[in-house]
Amino acid sequence: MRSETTTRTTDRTPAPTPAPRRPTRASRRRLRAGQAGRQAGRPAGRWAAVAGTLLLVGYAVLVPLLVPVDLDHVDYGIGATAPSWSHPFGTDLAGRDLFVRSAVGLRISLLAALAGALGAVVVGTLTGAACALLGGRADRWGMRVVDGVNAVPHLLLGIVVASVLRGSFVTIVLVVAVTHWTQTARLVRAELLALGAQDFYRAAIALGFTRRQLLRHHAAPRLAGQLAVAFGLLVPHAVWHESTLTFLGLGLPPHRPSLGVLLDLGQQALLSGAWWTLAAPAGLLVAITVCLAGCLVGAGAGGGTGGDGGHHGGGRAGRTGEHRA
Amino acid sequence: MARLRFIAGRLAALAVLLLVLSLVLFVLQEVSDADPVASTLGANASQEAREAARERMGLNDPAPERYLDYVGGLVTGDLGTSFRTRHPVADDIGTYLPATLELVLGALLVALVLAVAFAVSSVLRWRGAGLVRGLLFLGSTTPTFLLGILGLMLFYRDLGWLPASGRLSDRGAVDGPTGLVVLDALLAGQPAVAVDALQHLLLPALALAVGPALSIGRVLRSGLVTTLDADFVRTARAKGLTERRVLARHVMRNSVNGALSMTGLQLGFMFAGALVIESVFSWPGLGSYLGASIPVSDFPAIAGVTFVLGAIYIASNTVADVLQGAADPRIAL
Repeated sequence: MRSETTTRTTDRTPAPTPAPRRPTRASRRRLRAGQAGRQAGRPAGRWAAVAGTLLLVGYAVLVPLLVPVDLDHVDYGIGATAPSWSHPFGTDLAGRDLFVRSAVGLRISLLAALAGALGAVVVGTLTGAACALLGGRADRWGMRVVDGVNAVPHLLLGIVVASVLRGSFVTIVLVVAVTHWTQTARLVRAELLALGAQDFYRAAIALGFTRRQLLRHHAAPRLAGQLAVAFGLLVPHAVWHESTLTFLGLGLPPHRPSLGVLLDLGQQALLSGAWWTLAAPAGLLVAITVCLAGCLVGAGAGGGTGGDGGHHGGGRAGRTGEHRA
Repeated sequence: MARLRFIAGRLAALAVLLLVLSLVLFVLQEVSDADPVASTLGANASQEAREAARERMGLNDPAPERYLDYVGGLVTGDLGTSFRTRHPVADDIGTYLPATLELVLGALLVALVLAVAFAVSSVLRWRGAGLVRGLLFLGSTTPTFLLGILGLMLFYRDLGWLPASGRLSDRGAVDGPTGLVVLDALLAGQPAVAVDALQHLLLPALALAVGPALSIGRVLRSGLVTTLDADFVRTARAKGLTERRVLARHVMRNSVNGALSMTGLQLGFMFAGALVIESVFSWPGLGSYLGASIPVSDFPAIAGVTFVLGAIYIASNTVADVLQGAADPRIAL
């Protein structure tokens, strides 16, 4: 689609390479803003986000290992003490140290989120690829299923699925995977269909590439960047889901202190004035979401599409079936 | 003609999606280990009584037949009977839906105001635009329920400006036709009650609105940026219109399209988010109903709420599509 417009503007000047369209004032402004952002703010912000993520992950992994504390050890004598040197994040109502407990909570939440996001990307990739490769009726039905799943707000669907399966770590992972695979499926399908319409790909088929070669040299590199970004964007979202479902009592059981469990306990402890019981998990939750999302700022544009805009246009044009070879 | 066909197509899609939704719920009901017989008769019922109940409830029929029964019930507005309240689920939902509706409509209003403020202030580079943007961004990375709790800490506990829970300070102060307390109070000529209801509504609505506001605002902003450079805007300026008039008459109307469809999407998310917010603010709506139904595996109630909210979501997206077609006739073609 894009190539059409570029060639149309160049019919008077027969240059060997088609000149890009003259940028409008808006696009120039956006361009300038984009460049300025990339030169000044973005890399610094992104590095800060990466550093923050590493710091948080390090905290989540190392603290429970290095600080030998019995997590479930209850000591009402030091219950609800405010943050101090011996308890940097304070203690909860039962006297459990929140610095260690929050680290464990962050670790559980991150693990659940990673597993859930991975599951969603895997299911989405398989479904999307199957739709694109099989084509025809399978494709139509597959896409109807995607529409159907998308037709329900995913938090609502997640609540129902979690209420059927009962709260556990596996439930959280399943809920995230079951409700979030559709975007990846659409993405993979559109990418593969667009690829099927490309001349170089048809040339490769004509040259007698085997399926494995086609997959390895054309499909996989094209998809890898996209899938990485999709996965990266899903992780903070999944952290968010874990905490919400657990907060509602549908997620992890109370003896596994994920961020959602800690937030729930923190809200209860607020009534007795222990604000720090809520502050630690809440701050960690916001920090990890911001940092994870910040790592990916601008990555969507740079990763893997090979500068091919209009996915959907390409996808439609690619429904010829030749890519099935 | 083309428009009629467009609308007919959207309605057909709506019907298909509702069917898919009912199928999903039916399958979930099948795989859940909740036993309707045990829930209605109790754990100590005799074997014969259980068998009789199974037969009476049609649980021994083959699955396709039960699915058809289920869909037939949905079509006639029969969502089954709640195991917990022993009332028809449709009646229960009728009782709780107005509160959720009021919350979501309030949140939608707040979200639209914030979205327009966000988009216009950042396009026109007003002073303080960065602050609005930063606050909204930070808010949108925070889960809704956490925003609610933080809001409670600030405005209820520390400042004491707003109430913490429920819809009214004086329960049952008004009883009106719409079920929306603010409207009912105004209709009954009780402005004090309406103000009280608004105060109760403000904090949960705000917590619910922040995320959607950013999504809608972003789409609106990019629409505005594109439209501001269009030739017809230059013409409008050249013929001497004031900047405000140019914005209101020419720019806004041509930029709302994407924002409109985003609003339809976000409305659905707000209904889901309302379920969470209601549990923070003890808001007596569908979320509280669902929250009470989940621990006892009251599946008819859970499925009923999900179906109704899903249907509202699908319908609001259809309405957004049709409205878009009305605002921009090119879409139907």
